[in-house]
Amino acid sequence: MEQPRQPPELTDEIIGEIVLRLPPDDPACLVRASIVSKLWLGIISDHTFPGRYRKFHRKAPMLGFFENIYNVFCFVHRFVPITAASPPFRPPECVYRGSRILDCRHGRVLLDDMGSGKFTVWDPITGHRRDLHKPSVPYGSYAAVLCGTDGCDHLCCHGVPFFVVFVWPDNNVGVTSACVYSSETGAWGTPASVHSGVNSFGSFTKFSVVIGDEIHFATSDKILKYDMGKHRLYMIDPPDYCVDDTLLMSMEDGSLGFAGCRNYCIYSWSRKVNSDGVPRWMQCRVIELRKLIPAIKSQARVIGSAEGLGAILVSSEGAGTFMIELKSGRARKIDQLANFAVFPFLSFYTPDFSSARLPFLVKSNYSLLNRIVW
Amino acid sequence: MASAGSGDEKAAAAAMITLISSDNEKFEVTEATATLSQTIRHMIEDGCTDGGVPLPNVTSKILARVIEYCKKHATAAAGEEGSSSSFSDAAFLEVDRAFLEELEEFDDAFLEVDRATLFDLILAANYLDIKGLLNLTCQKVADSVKGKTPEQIREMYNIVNDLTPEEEAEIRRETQWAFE
Repeated sequence: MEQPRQPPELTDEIIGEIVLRLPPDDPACLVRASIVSKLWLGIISDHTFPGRYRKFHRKAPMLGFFENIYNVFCFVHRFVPITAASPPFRPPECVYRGSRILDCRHGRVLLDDMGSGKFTVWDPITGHRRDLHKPSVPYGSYAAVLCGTDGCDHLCCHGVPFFVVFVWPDNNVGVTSACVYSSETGAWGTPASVHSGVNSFGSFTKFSVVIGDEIHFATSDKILKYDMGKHRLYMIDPPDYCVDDTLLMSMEDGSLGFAGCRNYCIYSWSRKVNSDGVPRWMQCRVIELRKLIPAIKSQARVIGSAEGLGAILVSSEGAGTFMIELKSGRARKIDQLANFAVFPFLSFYTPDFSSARLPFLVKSNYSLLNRIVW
Repeated sequence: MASAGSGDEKAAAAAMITLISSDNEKFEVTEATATLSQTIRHMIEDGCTDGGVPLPNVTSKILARVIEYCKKHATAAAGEEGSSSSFSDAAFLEVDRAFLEELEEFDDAFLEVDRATLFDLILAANYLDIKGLLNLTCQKVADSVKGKTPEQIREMYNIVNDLTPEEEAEIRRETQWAFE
């Protein structure tokens, strides 16, 4: 029997191309690859590598999701990775009755420190945190966090600057208002308001979606749009639907999306501007869950959306949690079952921005010179 | 527009390029196929292809495979360009999808090779500067590395570990989560 031929040696440049293609949603791959040899270590530790790696993959991957867990005494939250090996994230300690996650976007998590009247914006990758006082308003408010850098591609935006958009209804007068906290000024701006009728947020299954300069919040029966550039609020009707557990999302093409589940089918809509200039909801393809995932035997629920990836998370008791790309209809199983609504966490975990530090790494000239950060 | 099917044999003949492998085998290919390689495209632009293009780094076995890839992908590229507006949008999308699916199937089958051949293809794609082929083959190696331990990666690709035990131990200690 002929022995298999030994593969020819690859050049540094080609190994660089291979390492560049390691999956960003499984950050352990890059770490393990870094100790294959000095050459591999040198390539990954090169200071230009993280930037090239992010640019190559174009979109921050979903590393996992956060979820709130409620018990009688306090609120807790946990991070659920989508891979077996995951970097440790150390959440900020809360002071009073626990904290719950309100939003997660652009690598930052917005926490409501219950009972303390404070919000915390936390960056799990760098460990950076900033506390801010919450405006004092009646019950039923909601908030979103987003990067505060103009024109940012969000491939590597961490810490400051950021914005927190806070929205609340005043049902005595049928008005909903919004105001913005800027980390640059360290203060809340003046509010904008819109006639909304009786309205409410605060349902734990609703989310916000950011599209360009516009932040959308699902309310009890409508969608509230806040245009940051114009500092104006608008009410939008959702599509005509007869689905349960509805969810706002951003579609892969950057349009506003709306999804829900009924009778083992996922229905989704995308808000598009027609030739007449009027935005309308267009129904997208229907995904038959049981065809896609035969293991689903009981009712499925839409529990979250990965902003910018055009993917939603669906959970069904007994079958598990799945991430489904709406466009391709591809499903991926996530090992751990999510209890309730989840907040997908999208970020790169590259050696230049991380919560854990690596003691040293070598340059490709094989001298032990540089320290880098995982 | 592409002149496919025009029957202009002279024009077709003029657009043929001869590639010569390291073991001196000659391959006649169309210019459209050959110019998927940026290296060859530049040679054509510089007018240095008379008498054939010698490729001293690529064996006939590998060159035949590379040409097979380029032919398929050049056809796909021409098909995309040639798609006319006689299709409605929906029909066009349907054709587009079928095209892409066929191409994906071709690529999957194309990658069913042993490691040594895969590496030869990577080296050839890099030398000939064929971006699609380099991406395809490097992604195949990256996929095979996923989920593997450093020891398994070294064994698969015959790589000598030249890190000192202290260096390796320290990195492992600091990034323990990646090895659980």
